[in-house]
Amino acid sequence: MYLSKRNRITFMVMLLVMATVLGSLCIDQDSEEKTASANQTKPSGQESTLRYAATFGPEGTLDPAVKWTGWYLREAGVYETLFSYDENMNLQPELATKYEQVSDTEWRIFIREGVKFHDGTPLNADAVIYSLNRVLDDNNTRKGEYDFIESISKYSDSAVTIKTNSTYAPTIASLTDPVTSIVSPGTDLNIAPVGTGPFKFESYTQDVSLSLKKNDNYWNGTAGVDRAIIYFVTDEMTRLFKLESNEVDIADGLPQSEIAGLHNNPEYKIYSTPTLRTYFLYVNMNKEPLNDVKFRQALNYAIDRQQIVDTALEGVGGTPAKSFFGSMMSWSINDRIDMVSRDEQKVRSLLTEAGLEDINGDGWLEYDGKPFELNIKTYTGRPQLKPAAEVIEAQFESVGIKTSVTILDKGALETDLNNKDYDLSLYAWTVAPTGDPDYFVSKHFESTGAEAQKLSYSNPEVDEWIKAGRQTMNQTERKEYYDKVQEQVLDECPEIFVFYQNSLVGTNKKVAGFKQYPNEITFLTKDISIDE
Amino acid sequence: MKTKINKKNPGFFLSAGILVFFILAAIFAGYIAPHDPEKANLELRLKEPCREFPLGTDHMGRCILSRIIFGARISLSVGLLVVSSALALGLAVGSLSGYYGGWADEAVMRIVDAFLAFPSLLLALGIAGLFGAGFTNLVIALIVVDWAGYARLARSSVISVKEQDYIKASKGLGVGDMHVIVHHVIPNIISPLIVMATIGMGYVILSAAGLSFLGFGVQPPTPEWGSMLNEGKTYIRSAPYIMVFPGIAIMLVVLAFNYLGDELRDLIDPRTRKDIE
Amino acid sequence: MIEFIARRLLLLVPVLLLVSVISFSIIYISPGDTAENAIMNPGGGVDRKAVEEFRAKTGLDEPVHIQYINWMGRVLRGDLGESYMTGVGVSEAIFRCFKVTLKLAVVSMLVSLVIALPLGIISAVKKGTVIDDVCRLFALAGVSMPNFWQAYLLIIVFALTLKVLPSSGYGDGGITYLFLPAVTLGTGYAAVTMRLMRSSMIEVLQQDYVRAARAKGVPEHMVIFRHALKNSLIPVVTVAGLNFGYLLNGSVIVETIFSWPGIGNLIVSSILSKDYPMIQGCVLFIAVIFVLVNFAVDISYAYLNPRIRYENKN
Repeated sequence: MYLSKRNRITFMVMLLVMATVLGSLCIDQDSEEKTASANQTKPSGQESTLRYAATFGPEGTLDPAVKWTGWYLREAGVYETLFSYDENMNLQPELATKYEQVSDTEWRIFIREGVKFHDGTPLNADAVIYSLNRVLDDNNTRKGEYDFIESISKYSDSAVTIKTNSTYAPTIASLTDPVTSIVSPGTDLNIAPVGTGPFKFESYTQDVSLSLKKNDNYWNGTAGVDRAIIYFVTDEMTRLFKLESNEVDIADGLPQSEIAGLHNNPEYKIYSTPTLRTYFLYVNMNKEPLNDVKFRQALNYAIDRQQIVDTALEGVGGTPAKSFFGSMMSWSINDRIDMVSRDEQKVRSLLTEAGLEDINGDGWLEYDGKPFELNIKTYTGRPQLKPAAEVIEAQFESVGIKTSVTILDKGALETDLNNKDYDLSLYAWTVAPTGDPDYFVSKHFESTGAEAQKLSYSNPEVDEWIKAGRQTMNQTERKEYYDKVQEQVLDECPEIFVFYQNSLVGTNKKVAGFKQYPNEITFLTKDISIDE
Repeated sequence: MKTKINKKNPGFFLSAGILVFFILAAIFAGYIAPHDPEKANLELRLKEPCREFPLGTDHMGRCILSRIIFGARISLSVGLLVVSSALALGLAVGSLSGYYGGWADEAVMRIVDAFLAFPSLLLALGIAGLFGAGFTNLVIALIVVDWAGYARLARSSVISVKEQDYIKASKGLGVGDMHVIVHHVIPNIISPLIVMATIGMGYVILSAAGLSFLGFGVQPPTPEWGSMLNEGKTYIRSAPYIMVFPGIAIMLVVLAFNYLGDELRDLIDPRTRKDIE
Repeated sequence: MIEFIARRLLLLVPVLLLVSVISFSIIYISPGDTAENAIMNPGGGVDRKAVEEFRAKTGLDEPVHIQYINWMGRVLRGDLGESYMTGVGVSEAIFRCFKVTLKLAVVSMLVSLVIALPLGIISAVKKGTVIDDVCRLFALAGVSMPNFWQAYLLIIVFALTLKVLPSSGYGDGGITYLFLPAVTLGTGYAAVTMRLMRSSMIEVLQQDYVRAARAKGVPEHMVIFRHALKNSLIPVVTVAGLNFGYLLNGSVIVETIFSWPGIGNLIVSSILSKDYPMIQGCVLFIAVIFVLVNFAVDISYAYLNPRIRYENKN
């Protein structure tokens, strides 16, 4: 070009220098891992390592009291809570041994003795109080959920007393949420988790992996594997590929479309269990004709839940829903009620009663003589939502209701719901994160609840039952109240329940002792082992 | 500027042929497509290519061939809308800015530089992702991202053309500025912009497909090629045809646009033109 | 020369300012309540009181121009704020992720050079022949294929069928984990580089000193490699920096599929979770890098081509 030879050489040298600088930037390995100790034992030939591909993981912080971080760390087997649920949703003592209700607003919890944290310090009342107070701290965004607690005090070295502001039946259940994980006081939890679980923290690289070592002093027996590594993989096909290429031994959230193929493959074991996650439609009762119970019932009968499971869920992703509490919950009434099957005749008569008729013979129903269209809004974020919404759309259209589907992201959809700018909205909720029935009904069907307001639902009788359920300690009485609420809701259809999601986990055939938990917060346990 | 097109160039005719095919498919979709692209037939889902469904059916039982044909309509209209709007906007802004010069020109160019400072997909992702999915938002996001390139090219072309004698002559004769711009300046700078637009079509179609793949594109059940790829992702082994065919369609169309754009550029670019003489 | 650099530097300031305004305002005009999004429960639903407290704490209740000024003030001090999702510093996350993406980008660029340079040279030397067309077609195919499609194909072939490479993940950052993502990105980018190599080489081959060498009887391959190559490489390498943007675009999808913790992945997940400080920080950071890279390229062009320096004086 226009350069003299000397200038050209200079320029080349400049480029070479830049390239070397850039290159050295890249070649240095990423050394930003958070390590608990200086010695990191590399897996030797005789150590067994369980490798797990997980969908969700901690988002930068490892502090269990921050948002839902505790859930991920409990799944990793690092932290435990005072109480927990077993695989059949029975409440069981974990770090507590039992509880006593001293009065309507006072509970005494007895702490398991002889348990040590990963750093050797003992589990005692001080540690429990410290852990729980972290959740009650003013800066904690989840503090509102524990506002019912007035105070926590030490009763003895191995017992604490919790005083509540008013009679609150869900008190003990609330202690199963991993936000109340019991931690060792005095450690920087953000960098080095110290819990009581079967696995000890070793290292963490955000969005990449979490390494764990077995806790030799675990109070409930030692784990079946020496080490565990959790890889965070957001794409479901990628998780599957990792399982199939033997990069991991166990993967959750497998793609529904691949389950049939995996079942036929003797190399892998597939675990499927219904979870507490229920998919349902919000119905905007503020709009006509959605305010007419006959129209809502018509929609209810127009849905073929089994077909949704067979198609949108490939037959494996879930089971048809009756009420919002799945059958594994003790609060369920599913064995007493019938499944709502699609009934075209019933649908047509209900629709006519609600004022929808095909006047002009174009195949679509008109309402009040005017063209009518129903819109289902849903969000991205769960792969089952879009296909399920599309199938519901097809099912409504086959009875003459012109329907459309709109997919938004969750934030925009929440705004629309708050502004009551929707017809129907398909959502997925974990109906009982602490196993207690009050959570869902108070938010969705109590007239002061945030979700009930989105529905424009208000029934004073239901309000009474919910309030009573919250304040009654007698389990039988409590159940009666929640039974009544469920029956009433199923009658009135402010929400239409579609299916319960299945958790789909795959392991290679060497993995033994894995159990699935419906609340999905227990995953790695001491029982898992690898048979070589 | 007109040089003879190499009649022995098979690539040229192949590309043109592909585009004509897809354009016709887009226009006459209703007549060519064997089935309704949006109607779900749940009993017929995931069928392999057969006589009734030449390219098979997807997870909702919809005919893939019909969806690809109607999808041509969507992809080509997104491409056309985005490129023509971006071209028009960029041309207007760039030529006015370059013609009048001065402080306004500097200011406008800084704005253009600012927009060019963002990698296009990221900015489009930001806009489509934050404002929500849907055809309109997709088109708007891509226009916002695309226009600046045309503006910059238009401006630099105008600046080099501005000093030409025939422009000065017109101005000397007292012809109004707008008239000069429209009738004398623009026709002489339009060719590189057309080249940019042709290659840009391919790029817009790919970006639209990419955004749809990430979940920010059109609403279901609209048959857009990118969202078909997204839906086919989990069936890549059990029913690979769901992903394969739309992918081929995208590739063919984009390839054709890129090739034609390359040919056009060779024709116009003075540096390579010397050889053609 | 110094004067030129100074002028260009001065022009950078308004551009960077505009970039910051654009980065900030995208978030602001998008729908959805910022505070609600930040507090949202993955199980569904929000706690009203927590939303109000959050709003007050992060200053979201102030008018927009005040928010912008506050934000810019912090940014100029190097503080990009804290992520809504994790409460962890945005700058930390960005630097960590950017290193990963940079690694991928550099290797991808190398891959594309390995493909594009030979193809470009052959294409230029054999200009107008079938070989020219084939090479161009090859490179074009790479750029026309949607990269997510290509990624899945490569994974199925190499990771699942042949089982020679890991299917995804960053792993230890070593070559096996780099290979598939880099190839996916690199082939997409190869056509761009190839085109440039080709036209640059064509131009150089027409220079007088090349004709003189040929006339002197120097064998053809010597002409190409000894005389022409060096000079034709210069614009290619210079422009390589500019096309960094192309690589960043591609990295968004490739990182999502291969689960690479890079900046493309970070942006997608923060958009999905409406983590506004993170989105703003990432967009601003990338744009600033861009502007600086463009600036460097402009300077080097001017250094190479004195005419540009003088032309720009008016």
